[in-house]
Amino acid sequence: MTKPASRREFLKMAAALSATRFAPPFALNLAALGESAAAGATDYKALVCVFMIGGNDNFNTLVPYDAANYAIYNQQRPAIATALSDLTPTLLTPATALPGGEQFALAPVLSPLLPLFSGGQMAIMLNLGTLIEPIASAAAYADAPATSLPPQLFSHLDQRAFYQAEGPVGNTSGWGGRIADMFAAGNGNSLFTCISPDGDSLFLTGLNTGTYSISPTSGAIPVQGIVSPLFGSSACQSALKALTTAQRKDASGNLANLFEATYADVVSRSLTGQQILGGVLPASTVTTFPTTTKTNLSAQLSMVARVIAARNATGVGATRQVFMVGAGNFDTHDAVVTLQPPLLSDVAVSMAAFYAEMNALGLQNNVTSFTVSDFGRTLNSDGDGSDHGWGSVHFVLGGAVNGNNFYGTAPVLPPSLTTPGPLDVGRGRFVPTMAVDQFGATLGSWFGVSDADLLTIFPNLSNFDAGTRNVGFMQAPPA
Amino acid sequence: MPGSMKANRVAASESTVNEPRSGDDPITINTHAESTVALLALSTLGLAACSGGSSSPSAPPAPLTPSTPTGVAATPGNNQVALVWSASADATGYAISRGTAMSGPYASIGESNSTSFTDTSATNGTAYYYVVSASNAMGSSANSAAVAATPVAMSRTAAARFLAQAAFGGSDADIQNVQYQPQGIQGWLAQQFAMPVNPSGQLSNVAWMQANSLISVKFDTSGVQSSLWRKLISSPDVLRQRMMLALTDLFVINTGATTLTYRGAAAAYYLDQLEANSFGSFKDLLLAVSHTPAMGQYLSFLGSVKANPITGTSPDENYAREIMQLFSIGVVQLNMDGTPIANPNDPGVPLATYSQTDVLNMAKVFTGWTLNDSATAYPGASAATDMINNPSGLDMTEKTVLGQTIAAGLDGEATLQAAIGILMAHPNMAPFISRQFIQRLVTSNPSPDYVSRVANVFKTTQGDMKSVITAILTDTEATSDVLLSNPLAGKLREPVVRFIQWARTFQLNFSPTDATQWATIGDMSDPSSRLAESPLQSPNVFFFFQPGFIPPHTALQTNGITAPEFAITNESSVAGYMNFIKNLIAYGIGGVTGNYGALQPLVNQGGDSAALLAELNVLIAAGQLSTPTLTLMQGALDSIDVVTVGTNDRLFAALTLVMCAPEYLVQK
Repeated sequence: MTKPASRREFLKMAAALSATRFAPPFALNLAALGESAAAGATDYKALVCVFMIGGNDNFNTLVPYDAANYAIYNQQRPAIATALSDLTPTLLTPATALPGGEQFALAPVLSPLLPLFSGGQMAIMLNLGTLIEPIASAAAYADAPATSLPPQLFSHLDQRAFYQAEGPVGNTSGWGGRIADMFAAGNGNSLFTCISPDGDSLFLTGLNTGTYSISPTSGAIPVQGIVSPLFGSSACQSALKALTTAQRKDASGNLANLFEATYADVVSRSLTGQQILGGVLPASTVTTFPTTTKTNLSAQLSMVARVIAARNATGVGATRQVFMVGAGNFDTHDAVVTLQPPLLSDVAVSMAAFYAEMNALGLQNNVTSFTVSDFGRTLNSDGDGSDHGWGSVHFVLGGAVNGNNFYGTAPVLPPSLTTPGPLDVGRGRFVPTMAVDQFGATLGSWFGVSDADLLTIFPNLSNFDAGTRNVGFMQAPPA
Repeated sequence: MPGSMKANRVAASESTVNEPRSGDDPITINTHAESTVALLALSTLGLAACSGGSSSPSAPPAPLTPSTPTGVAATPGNNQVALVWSASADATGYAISRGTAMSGPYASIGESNSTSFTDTSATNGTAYYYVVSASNAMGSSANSAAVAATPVAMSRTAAARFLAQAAFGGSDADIQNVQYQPQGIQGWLAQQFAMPVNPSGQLSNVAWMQANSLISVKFDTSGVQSSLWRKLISSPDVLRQRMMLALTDLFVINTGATTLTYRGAAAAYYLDQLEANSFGSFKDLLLAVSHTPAMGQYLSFLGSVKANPITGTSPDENYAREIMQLFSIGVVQLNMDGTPIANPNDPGVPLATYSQTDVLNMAKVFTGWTLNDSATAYPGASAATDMINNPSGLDMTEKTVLGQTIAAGLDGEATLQAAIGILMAHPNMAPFISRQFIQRLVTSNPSPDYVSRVANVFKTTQGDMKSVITAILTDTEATSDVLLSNPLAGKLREPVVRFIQWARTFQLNFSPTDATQWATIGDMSDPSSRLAESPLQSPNVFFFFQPGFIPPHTALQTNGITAPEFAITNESSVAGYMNFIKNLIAYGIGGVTGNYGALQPLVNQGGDSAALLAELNVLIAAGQLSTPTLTLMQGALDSIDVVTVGTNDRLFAALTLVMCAPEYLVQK
């Protein structure tokens, strides 16, 4: 497939983008608008990012099970280690066994995900984290210049930003949005490309594509005073709409105030979105979510399922969509055995239900969900919790996933309380062996992004050997 | 006969209304009791033309007293009134008298040999009446008609604007209180600073919860949430309450997200400690916060102990990191004007303030802290008492943090004091904190010069909150027209502030002691149906929005304008807010409606909504609704037939239009 050779084609596409959104403030990178955009995809694909906010404790999520590693796990965090006997029911038996007899079990509350793993729909990343370039060892980390490390490692805001943007706080776009940039013009209405029931995020912010916010419980919310008479007055109804969407100008014809103009833009999109989506969002197609959604995450994923169900509706016509949902409070410095299980259970139940809904829609091969978090946590405990770590464990779920397998290399655990492991930069924080760039690029490739475009979307990807840029956890597309 | 003596005229009886008197007659017989001399005067013109006649030769004409001054106008200013008037013929001087009632008595306050005079002995808020008389060698004229003026520190609009920055807007009486301050806004600030915590019989958060049997309720924060709304909405010390909102934005806690049993008591004590130190020093704020069980639990250093080489545990790093990242110095080295210090080695990479090693060492400071179990007055009392330090858990080794050393062997309190002292001395503290307070009160993207001015006050006063607050609110950037006319400047009002403004302006009449009423407000953070933010309900320690947020794909982004409140402004939350405010205006909350008594007479005054809108413009929007906007609103509102349907629909629609208008929502 060739790039859209002409600048004219590119500019037409850029104009199409800006007509439905804001004028792009940046000089568009011509190279970025490559083959992917010309795809004009006819099939449907969606990515769903499940962000566990706060830095999920990975060692109590995917627990070392084989005797040698369990002993170290127990030694490092005796007060919070899960009992080995509790892990037997969720012991994982991947299609390809790990070397050296290494075994892992899911946390007991993640049992809803077990059949999805064994059934081949779920893959597990063993040591995923933020990197700018490969770091071979803890020693290499200690010697690494600051510019070769993600800035402010172990800081929530910065790592959260880096996970989403592949750049520090201050980065203005995230890779979910940058992927969406490639396809927004191919959607019937680019407004419905990046969608979130959990507020705005850096992840879903592209160079040109923004996030459409939707309520997890109410979908697209109508403004009562604009869709119906305001206190009985249709004149006031019109006035409210006019006022709240006006791009107010000064005497010279320039925008009078940019804050006001920005606010008015949000209202305009809200009204437009509700006009289109409000009428076509199915009351509910979801059958497997609890009817009284007990958690916010469950409600968010339920709403995502309904939006996906409405992808072909009039005014929507979406072929590529990226979603983000979030679950909070994973920052378990304290009381991890009390606080984490309900959170993990929520993730497992909600993601499993979401997968079942996609299955019911016949879209299980078209929709891939995946977890991310700020960072992992220290293997070593601070008593009843753990501190900010680095490399972590994450799941990818969908019919197109090469499931029932682990990907990446688990870190060698510290031989003793006073001897770190080779990747251990202190207290059981491990240098990742899989970068978010590689992880994201694998998802992007499945989504339809060309290899050339992946290098633009993931700025650090070129630092990794070409053969490692696709991790391989997504199935090759059917011939 | 050429020339003639114009007929004498009897002066009309002295009038007490401000009507211009006919002063053209050159000859006047002054019959006023105060006249000194009554003279019969001849017009010189008349005499000049007089030919010789049979009467006795003419003597030189006697000079005339001057005429009564006319056209007196008074312009009130700040503790002064400027008077001008029309010149009186033959006057060589004027005398100005003043009284505090139209009918007098009037006393002399000065003289002038020009047609103007400024009374600088006036006091803001007092109604004065002025009369002017003209004089010459022959005597004085009658007094002019009286004019009235009340000096004010600032216009009504300017006062309303100040209250939007320093309080939550205000009622007409609140606005007048600012206007009539003898010392202007300095006077208002002094008034507010002098207010004790818990003024006028208000109860502290802990005391209120005790009084309402809420203090010992386990696993519950609804009680403390009610108490905080009570304070924010009804406590008379509005500046302190506005600062409390800013402080809870900065020193974030959400005890509902912890495992604390007595999380309500903990949060109540936490709030009381913030209030107690809100007008003190920033150092004392940091110390107070660091002693609260709420913060100890929320950022997990309660129970953290020194490293144990046998079990392999290490001190908890959470608070050690966040106290630097969020509560004191931030992550990036800053100039005093809030801009990042340029990295000489790599322009794109900012300079970090602290390293992971600093975090590790700071974590050692926050060890050994435990609940004070001797606090047993009621279940949960230890959650509402300062933590104490248990030496057995304390790391007493020497620690180096941010290049400064904390000596070995110090006890927990001394160690903490030393650590806070190191933070206070860091050059980042002043700009990092100052810029955020400016963002909370005045404007989202202050000029570097503004930040610098406030940061210098922070620095030289070592974080004296009164000085910093004063510097922020009296700075010319806040008070002048600069922000009004700059398209790049503004502040999207926090939704919680909009709600509190409505509640205070329209006197949401909850009983101070009725916890059930206050509980009807609750958690306001649902963006779909409420305000998208709520104090004590932050999902994490980074609050609902961060100081450096720039909305993507906007002209604000192109211009690098920080606009934190836009982080919670999206397609859902704008709809949720508009629905919420409309219903709040019409139906109130908790079954209690707003008090619109003062507005009712204006709803159809003169047969249209112009007066109502003019008043709402000042009261709610500090005069910042433009004429085209008001015209649009009036056209729509006037179509509501109040004669048939009553006044409420027009009133509610007007208030809804105003509180949804971008010109209101963006404070300038």
